[in-house]
Amino acid sequence: MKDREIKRMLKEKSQELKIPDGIKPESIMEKLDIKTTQKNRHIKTGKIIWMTGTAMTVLAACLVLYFTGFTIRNSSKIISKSAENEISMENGREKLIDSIYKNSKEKKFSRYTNEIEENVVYDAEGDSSKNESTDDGYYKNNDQVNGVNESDTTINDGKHIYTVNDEKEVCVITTNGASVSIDSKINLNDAVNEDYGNLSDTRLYYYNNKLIVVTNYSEYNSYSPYIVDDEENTQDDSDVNSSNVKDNEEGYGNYIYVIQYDVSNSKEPELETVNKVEGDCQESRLSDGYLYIISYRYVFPEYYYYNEISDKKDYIDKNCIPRINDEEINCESIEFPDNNSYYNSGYEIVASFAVMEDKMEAVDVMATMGENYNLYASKDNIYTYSSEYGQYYVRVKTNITKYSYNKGKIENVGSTKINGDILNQFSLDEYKGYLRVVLTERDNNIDNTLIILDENLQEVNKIQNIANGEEIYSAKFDGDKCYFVTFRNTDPLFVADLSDVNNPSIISELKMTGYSDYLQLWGKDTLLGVGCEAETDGSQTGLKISLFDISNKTEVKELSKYTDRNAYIDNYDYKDMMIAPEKGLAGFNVNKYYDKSYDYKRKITFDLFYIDDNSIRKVLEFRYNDANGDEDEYYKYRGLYINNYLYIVTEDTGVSAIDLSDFSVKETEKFN
Amino acid sequence: MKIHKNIILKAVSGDNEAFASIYESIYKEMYRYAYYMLGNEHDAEDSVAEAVVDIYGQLSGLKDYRAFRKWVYIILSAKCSQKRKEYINKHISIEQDEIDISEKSEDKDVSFDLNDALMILDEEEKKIIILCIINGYKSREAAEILELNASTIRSKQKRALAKLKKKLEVYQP
Repeated sequence: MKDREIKRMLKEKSQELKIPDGIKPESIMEKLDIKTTQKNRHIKTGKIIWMTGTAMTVLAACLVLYFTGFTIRNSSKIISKSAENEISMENGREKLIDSIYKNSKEKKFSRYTNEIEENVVYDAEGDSSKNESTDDGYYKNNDQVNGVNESDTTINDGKHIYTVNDEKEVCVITTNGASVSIDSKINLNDAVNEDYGNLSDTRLYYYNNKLIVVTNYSEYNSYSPYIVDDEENTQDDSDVNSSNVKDNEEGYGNYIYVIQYDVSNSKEPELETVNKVEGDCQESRLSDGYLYIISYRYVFPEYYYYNEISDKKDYIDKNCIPRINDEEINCESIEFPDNNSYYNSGYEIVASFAVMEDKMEAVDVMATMGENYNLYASKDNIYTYSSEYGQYYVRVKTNITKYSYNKGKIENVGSTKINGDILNQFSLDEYKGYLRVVLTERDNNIDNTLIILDENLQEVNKIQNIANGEEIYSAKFDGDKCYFVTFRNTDPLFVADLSDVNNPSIISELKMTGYSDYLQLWGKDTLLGVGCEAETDGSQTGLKISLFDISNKTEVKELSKYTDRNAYIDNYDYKDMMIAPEKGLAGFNVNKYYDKSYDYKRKITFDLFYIDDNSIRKVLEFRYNDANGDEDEYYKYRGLYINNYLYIVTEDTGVSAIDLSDFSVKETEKFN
Repeated sequence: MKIHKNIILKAVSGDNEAFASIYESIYKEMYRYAYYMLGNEHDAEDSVAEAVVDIYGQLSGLKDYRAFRKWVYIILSAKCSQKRKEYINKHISIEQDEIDISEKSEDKDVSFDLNDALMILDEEEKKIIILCIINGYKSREAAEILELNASTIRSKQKRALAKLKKKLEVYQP
């Protein structure tokens, strides 16, 4: 389906939505008591008294029961699942093309695996990839697994801060206690020619004097949604016009650029290597000097959907096998699970690169037909996962694919499908070879499961029917224990004992109001929860940060909590939080919603808390102050500390240094 | 729909006719936003109505007419969030007989329920699809409203469309 078609479908459908009479202008003006000749404004703010009159509709109002039958339209382009399901690995490329379009020519390509000598990975002093809990004096981004780095928009190396500015630039900032200065700005256009497309979702890694940038590049084309000149849409962006559109017939059109810079001299970063992977970057990880990129690449490039292809065989032959650095990957690296059609499906590509002394080199690649959008990575394995939908678009099952990785070598171990829905990456954890997953099952009832899989993803054991009617809101595994929170009205914090895989059990349950969206092991025997407070009926009343005593796993207690009504934390991206238990500090982007204020605004501040063994104390509320004092701006913040200073990066704007002894703002540097 | 700045300025200074005409221009998109975020008619209606009350009551405090749309969406979005939090707690078991068939398709032909389809997106993706595709905002405008980068809006939109494509391709005409 072309983008344009689906957009039209969505738009048309939405136009069919009936607008209730109660909010049509006549009704509303009446309710507000507006007579157009009058200027009275004696209106109470807040809830309107008139009721919609019906009882609260059930959640299943969204889950509409409709027709039961539908036909799958087979366009002439689709290869339906005839004989092509069993495809062996030999002559993989031929079989692949064949299965994309019945007939094909055989071609041979050199194996895409570079042999890398042992120990060639650059290993200068101060291996910053180690993420031990000892205090090196600076903030190491809060990765889920020690030693497996996750990318971020703002990172530091203990002296310099690297931050993405407006997607296409990286600012290199040197810190010197209370002072900050911008040493250089890396323009990604030097590495990626952005004339014919744009960059997005730029993320960074630092490793041994190398700055690694992962960014997504999308080509402009005249048939993409970005420039549409039909009656419905006008041009989406004023800076895209016919002079920067190439309309390439060949080439995939969306690439992940993996760029390595040497930043030993912060004033003069040096571009070393640019690698290019087809697809959209779903996730990546850096471990042990190797970078692993997970990309999703459709079988057919967008061009195929919008243009008439005269010779389809030839087109498929040239455009439907993914490339890395413009070289096709070997089909022996591609796994074929059962598939109905390749028309709208794609490859899940796991590609590795070695960070070397003066370059970055591609090492290995593994591709599967699949579309797992999410990732959890342990020290040894990468698990990609995605949801499968059942009736009423409910997420009922999860597909998990496991890849083992070691020094750049990647192997596909296998896949499995389990019942239930995974909340986020913290719901999975690998320990002693076993994968433990905590899920919410939504079939006839809603309840929760904790499942243990062995190294071949076969089920070993599970605990079922946990917390009927509630959903998982957060989870944290710690060795052979699992802490998780479910919520509906009150929030049990469960502790599961997984020390015996043949006999997992729930050993503790603490009921309290509200819930946690995020759990973090804090000091010795304490657990931190960040989320919401609520009344006993479940209605939410604002931000809550809790501290739990987990010294006795069978009897967990709440030690203390901090609440703030009318405040909340958006939890789209857990990296927005600064989590530093080693320093007793946590910082959050807090939204404060002022209900009764005349000046109706929402403020976002970076709130810093000092959290020790039994108390939570807010010590700083930071808001970026523009020289113009522009109150309307909303910023997003990233916090990090180096020694005794806190540095807050106001994204795309500037960096501020704060003295942690008295929480005073010392200096601010603007990026632009 | 475009609203001329003079109308906004008039409304801000207390002209009720101007306010009425503004509301006329935006009420449908407000309702569509609330409806597809919340998934049901009654809560959407409540949210829009509550938002309008606040907007009307505090309009004179609006300093910058250019921020008008963003301000409207922030208020509306906040009302929806509140509603959703109250609403999400009322879980139901999905028994066949309890399902409220409020949006049954009249067609005998294959049709899809947009609400259902949007359920597979996360909240941010949903907002982007509603703003950009259903309500017709450009990525720059949506970026301002959602406080994200324009290119992030585009890439998230692409991803959301990809997810929707997979679910909806069976309904292709």
